[in-house]
Amino acid sequence: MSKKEKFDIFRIVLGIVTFLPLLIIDLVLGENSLGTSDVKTLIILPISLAVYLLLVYDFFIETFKNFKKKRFFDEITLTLIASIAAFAVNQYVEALAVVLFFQIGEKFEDYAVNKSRKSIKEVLDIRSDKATLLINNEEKVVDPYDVNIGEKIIVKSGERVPLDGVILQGNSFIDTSSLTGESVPRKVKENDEILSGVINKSSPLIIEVRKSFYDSTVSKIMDMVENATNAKTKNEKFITRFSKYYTPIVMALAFLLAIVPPLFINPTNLETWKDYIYIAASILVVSCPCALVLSVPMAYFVGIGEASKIKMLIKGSVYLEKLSKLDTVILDKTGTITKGNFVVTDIYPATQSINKEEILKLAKIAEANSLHPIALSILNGDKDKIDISEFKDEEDIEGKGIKGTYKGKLLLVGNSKLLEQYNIDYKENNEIGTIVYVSYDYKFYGSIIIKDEIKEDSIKAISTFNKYGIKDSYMLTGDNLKTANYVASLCGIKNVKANLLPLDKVENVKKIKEEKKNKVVAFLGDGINDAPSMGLVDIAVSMGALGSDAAIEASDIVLMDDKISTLEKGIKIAKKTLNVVYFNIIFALIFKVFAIVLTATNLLGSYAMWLGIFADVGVTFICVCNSLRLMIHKKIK
Amino acid sequence: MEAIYLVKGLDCANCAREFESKVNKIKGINEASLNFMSEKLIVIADEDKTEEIKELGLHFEDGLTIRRIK
Repeated sequence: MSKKEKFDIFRIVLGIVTFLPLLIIDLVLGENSLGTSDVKTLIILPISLAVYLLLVYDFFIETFKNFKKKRFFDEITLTLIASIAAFAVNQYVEALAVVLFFQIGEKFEDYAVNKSRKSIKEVLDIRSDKATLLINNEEKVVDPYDVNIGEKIIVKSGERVPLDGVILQGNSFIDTSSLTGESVPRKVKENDEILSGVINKSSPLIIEVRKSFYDSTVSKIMDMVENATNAKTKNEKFITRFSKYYTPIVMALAFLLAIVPPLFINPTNLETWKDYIYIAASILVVSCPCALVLSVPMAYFVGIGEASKIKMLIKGSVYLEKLSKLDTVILDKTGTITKGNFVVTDIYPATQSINKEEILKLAKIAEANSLHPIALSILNGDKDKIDISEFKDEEDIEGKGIKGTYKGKLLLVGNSKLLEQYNIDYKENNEIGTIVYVSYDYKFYGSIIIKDEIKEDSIKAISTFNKYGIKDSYMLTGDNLKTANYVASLCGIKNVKANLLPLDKVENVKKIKEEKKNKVVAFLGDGINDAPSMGLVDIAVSMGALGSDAAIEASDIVLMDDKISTLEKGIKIAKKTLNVVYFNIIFALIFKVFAIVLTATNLLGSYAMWLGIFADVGVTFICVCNSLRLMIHKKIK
Repeated sequence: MEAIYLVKGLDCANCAREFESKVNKIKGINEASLNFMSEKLIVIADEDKTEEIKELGLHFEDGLTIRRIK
């Protein structure tokens, strides 16, 4: 604690200790609280004035400085004016209360702001501040910024991996929970890729660095959150506009009340003047829009922080707000609803004379250079064992498959559209799954069935979408209708569009968005192939995109743990946040207007200032607590 | 072009709002948005306005520091 903080706490405690007895004395005397008495001038005035000065002497200095900087009416100045006015009309205890509660309020706000900032920093800061370089078998601890691509680093048990790379030596278990939320340690071995941010749990790993610190996964994640858009939500804009007019209007009202009524009622009576100056001062106390200006952005901030705790990164409060109103979800199938782990499950030869191995061999030759998930499943890790020296004229026909010549004869490996394009007779395979047809020398050889698994939580998550306010869901896929329908029916998705080429996907997304013009539409995909679609919707959500800068760049929300159910948890947080925001706005506005009206109409008499103090500090306290409440929660299931 | 500044030492949310509106008034700045909670000021301007913004900060509040981070 700094000296200044200690002093502040000291004077607040002293303030409270003196304020309470003074208040009691004042209340006992209180029959004519606007009048003066000996006790008031001899005891209350000097004590409260002394404590008052101790509490706010530095405010006077600051205000004086602000005047020089041409900043006139900030809340400090207004508080001082109100308290001086209260002294002037012999309301000493009230004057002291105004500044005392103002100070307490300030301290509380500081505490709340720091608390929420810190809580979020802790969740997100998964960068390492050092890396251990391995040069000629000697270890050297350096700043991760100074590690170059290609250098070797050693990560010991219990340490966090500082940079992205590939394991050269060692077997270990890693804890990926800070990245993916997955708590079960994962086994890693030589030649495995390893991402920065994970923790090495068992034995040392020697890693060859593949990305600079700046480009490593942790930096990208931090960057996404730190450079989240500042774009303001409608609610925040409203508050900015509101505060712009609120303070001057309240000040003008206070000024008019101090001058106009006494002039008309009884300009020569000092007591009338005192009454109205007191009313004006009480109104000034309510003139700061602090409750709103602080608590609303704080609610969004805490909401975004809470979302990152469940491994949902949100690029700004605008998206949190949109998320709370999510109406339609467009889902990609592969890698989003399903795992994207394709496995060859069956091979159907066209005739008995062709054997299965031959079909698979031809398919492997054609797909040897492809990185498509389907191709990888056909290759099944055999990429280097295949002799492709006689495979020529390779052409990747988008959305259809691969064409080329093998030993001088046409080889086609792809979907039915590819075979149709070359007028090849084929037997349609109606199995559920992705079907790859193989044709060689204009003859149909057979088909390969490739299946993908549905993620464990997809079915439950999608079928409960309506609980979270999602009215419509669409599934778009390049896969065949049969597989698409199968997956869709399991998840309860009614709208299915299958056999889509990448461009068709974009067209479909455009159409859906046009139909749902005023509704919030989200697109859920892997973020890598979907960037064009993502630009068309209100919220672009990417899943399992860790390690892909492009995906993180293209999306507004990243689900690090790759689970659709996280989207639902996020919606819950978003709705809760928006409830807090609306409550704070409505409560603060109503209460402030209520306090101003009651005071201005002189219904409260000498209690007006107490209501004013409550409408300022009390309302701020309630609103800020309400925002902080988002941090305290029962475990979201 | 877009620039991001880390603004530390702002007293309160209302001061942040006020500072934001002052930055918005700097000639050549198209849009400035300050988030009090994350302490980030994002400025969209035709040219680099770092000096003007720092100058403004100097005269706004004691102990205010502004550092360009992007």
